[in-house]
Amino acid sequence: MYGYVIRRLLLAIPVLIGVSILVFAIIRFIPGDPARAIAGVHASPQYVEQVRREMLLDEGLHVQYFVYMSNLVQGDLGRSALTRRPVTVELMERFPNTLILSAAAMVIAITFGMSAGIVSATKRYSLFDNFSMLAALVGVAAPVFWLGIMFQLLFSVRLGWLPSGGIGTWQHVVLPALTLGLATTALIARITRSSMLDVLRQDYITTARSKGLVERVVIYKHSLKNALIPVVTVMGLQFGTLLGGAVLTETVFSWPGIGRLMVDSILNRDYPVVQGAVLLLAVFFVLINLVVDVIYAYLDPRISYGTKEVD
Amino acid sequence: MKKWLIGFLVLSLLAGFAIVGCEEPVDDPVDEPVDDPVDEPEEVAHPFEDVRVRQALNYAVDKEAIIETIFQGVGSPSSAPIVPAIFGYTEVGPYEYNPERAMELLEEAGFGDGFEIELYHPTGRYPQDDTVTEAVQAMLAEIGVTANLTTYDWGTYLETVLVPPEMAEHDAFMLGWGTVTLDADYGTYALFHSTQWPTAEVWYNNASYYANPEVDDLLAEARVTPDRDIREGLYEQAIEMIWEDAPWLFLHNEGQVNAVRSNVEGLIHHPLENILAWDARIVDEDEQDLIIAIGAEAESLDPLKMTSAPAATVAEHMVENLVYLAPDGSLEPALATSWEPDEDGTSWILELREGVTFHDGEPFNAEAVKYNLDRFLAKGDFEGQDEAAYAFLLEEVEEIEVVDEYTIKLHLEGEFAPIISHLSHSFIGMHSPAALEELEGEEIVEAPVGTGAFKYVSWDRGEQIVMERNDDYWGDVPELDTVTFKFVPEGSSRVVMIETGEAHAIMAVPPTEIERLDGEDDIDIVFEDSVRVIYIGFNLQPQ
Repeated sequence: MYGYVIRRLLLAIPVLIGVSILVFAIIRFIPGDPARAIAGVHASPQYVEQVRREMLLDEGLHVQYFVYMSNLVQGDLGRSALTRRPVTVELMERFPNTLILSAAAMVIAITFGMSAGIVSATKRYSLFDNFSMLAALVGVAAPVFWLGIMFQLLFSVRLGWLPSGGIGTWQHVVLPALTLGLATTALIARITRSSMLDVLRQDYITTARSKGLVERVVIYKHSLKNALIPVVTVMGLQFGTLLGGAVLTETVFSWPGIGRLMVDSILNRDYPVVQGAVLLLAVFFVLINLVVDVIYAYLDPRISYGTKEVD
Repeated sequence: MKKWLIGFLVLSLLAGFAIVGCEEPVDDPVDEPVDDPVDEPEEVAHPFEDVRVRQALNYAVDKEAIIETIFQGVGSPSSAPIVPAIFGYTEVGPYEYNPERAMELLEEAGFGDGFEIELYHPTGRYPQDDTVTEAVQAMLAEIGVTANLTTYDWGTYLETVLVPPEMAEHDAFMLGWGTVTLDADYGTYALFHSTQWPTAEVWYNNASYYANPEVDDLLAEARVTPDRDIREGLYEQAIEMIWEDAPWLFLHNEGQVNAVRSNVEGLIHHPLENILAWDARIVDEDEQDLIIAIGAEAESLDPLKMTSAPAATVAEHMVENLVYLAPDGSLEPALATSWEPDEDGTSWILELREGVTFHDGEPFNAEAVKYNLDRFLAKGDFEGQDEAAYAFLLEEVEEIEVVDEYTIKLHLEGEFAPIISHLSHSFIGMHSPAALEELEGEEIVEAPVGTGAFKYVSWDRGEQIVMERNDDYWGDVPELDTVTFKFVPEGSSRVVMIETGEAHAIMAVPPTEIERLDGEDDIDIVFEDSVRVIYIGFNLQPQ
């Protein structure tokens, strides 16, 4: 097991190097002069030149990449071309916020999504099933932007229960986490339902039932655990998506997260920040996937990691 | 369907009928533009080489309708190449909406059957920029001019249109220009002087390739004329000529809309898209903690790196300039109490305010001014280091001389009349030299130490900047205890904040929300002109 984890971590290194090359190249393929974008409309030609020098834009791509990589292995992501602050500092200020928001959204999604999915599957075609699956469809389809504004109008303006934006207390987390988590809730509900339905048709469930087990035990002990594998896969993927994809929610709720930082940096062609942020997200994505794979083994002992001691 | 959209469609229809109903020839004599050398245009001539065509396009666009329908009445049709708040402004327009007149002019010029142009425009840069361009496209179609639109994101746009004539592929382009010095020099010289055509190396801003020797002379003379009345006269003549020559399709002056809760008094709404709180107070609250929500975060509070209005707004509360540019455009004493040029106008003497200390207790004096200006311009002790993003404002300054403790002399490379206007720019604030000394390596100012009415407290990135009252302020000490600027990028979220009372004031109310907010008793809407004009430039050197 540990051997597997270490092997996976080592395998992650080429993946991350690949990511670093990709993001380095892709952002440079975006048309537009970054020096000009950063210097602003009114800047003088001398200043634009100065920014170009600072960003090494007058050097060849190979030189830029070499400098970037040799700094990177020393843990130095460079400085933001726009604010001139170290990229690591900028990322570390924002990333915890994004992590909090994504985790809260994930908790909401798992709690409500899985409950709805399980109940729907066991009470198939009931009123609850039809209603919650309709709600899930709406949840998947509702644009985050619209949803966020509706929540603000209802809970902040009309009812006055929760702050409309910003960060600080747990109350600040509720609306953005709901907004961000709703689509994932809906997705998890649907996946849980279909996966559960699939498992409930399996022979071993019929066996369990014919042994005279209580339905509750059949559902939670025998079916749910087995039904969870696709659900966990989706959770892992979704969590990664939430981390990088919270831009709209972060914008509507003025949440100082990494998604907003990334979009602003792309618009400003602030190469060092974009590179750092994408790399950070890639590291997390790799880690989340690893965790998901490890959870598989717990859920289904038939899944082995190629180590001989597992029988 | 949205109300403005319906309005827009109705207007387009009306415009169509107006033209259809006016097909018979009109007998009114038409003023021949005097400076037009071409009577019968040659077959190959590009329509924009004929001034009548350029004027025709100005008559063809209904600026009022654009403002009413797209901007819900915020803003005003351009009445000059610069906005009224700027020193040197003369009212010469707007070009009225008159499609018949436009058709006549086109026919006279030999383009009665219309023509086709490539119109480039950015998206997401100026408010509703793509919608405005589409409206213009529809209105031009009414006089037979087919505009093919090409859209660019801002990062790519400038390098597409700020190119030398031989590289330009467009016939017309949309741009905006904010005269951030509030002095006509910056709003005319940079855009209309023939030395300011973009080159392959340098992106100058006369992107229309406009060249009129008379205008050149007037603009050059106005730069070196210290007397403000005489300068104003020179700009008046230049602006009249530019208006007649119509190198642009003059669209509109941007407006800005702020909203303030009615229990807040004394906020200053500045045309430079600033909101200033030093005279403000909250009437019925014990705690004088003012919260203002603005759209974008300050990119920096270091004079070397500041480039945006949000940065200026925040910084001005903590850091002061030598000269203060009042909202009415007048120059008022701040850290300098008086200024005057010497005999030949190539140097300026500024007397400084005595008894002022920085927030860290350091004295403000001529040495401090020299230190700040040298740093800004990478001169003196800062020779060889990076200059400020806005160093061009003071590019005429050759040397800063300390005359005595409270007198400073600016030596200029030549005469340059707008120098004091430029000194008033919010990016040239005076920081404590002791605090600047402490910066190491590539560090820049994050916690400004100035002389202003408020002192820096904290900056939570992506969220807010907090400052508190400076009890030792040399002027009137503010009544507010603290001022907090919150960064709220989404317009409708700012509106929610003022509705719930989470903010006392918000900047840039989205046009669609104005009507709703206006109906609320405890919220006041403030309309203010900005300093930016939006225009469609013609390519006057078509290849």
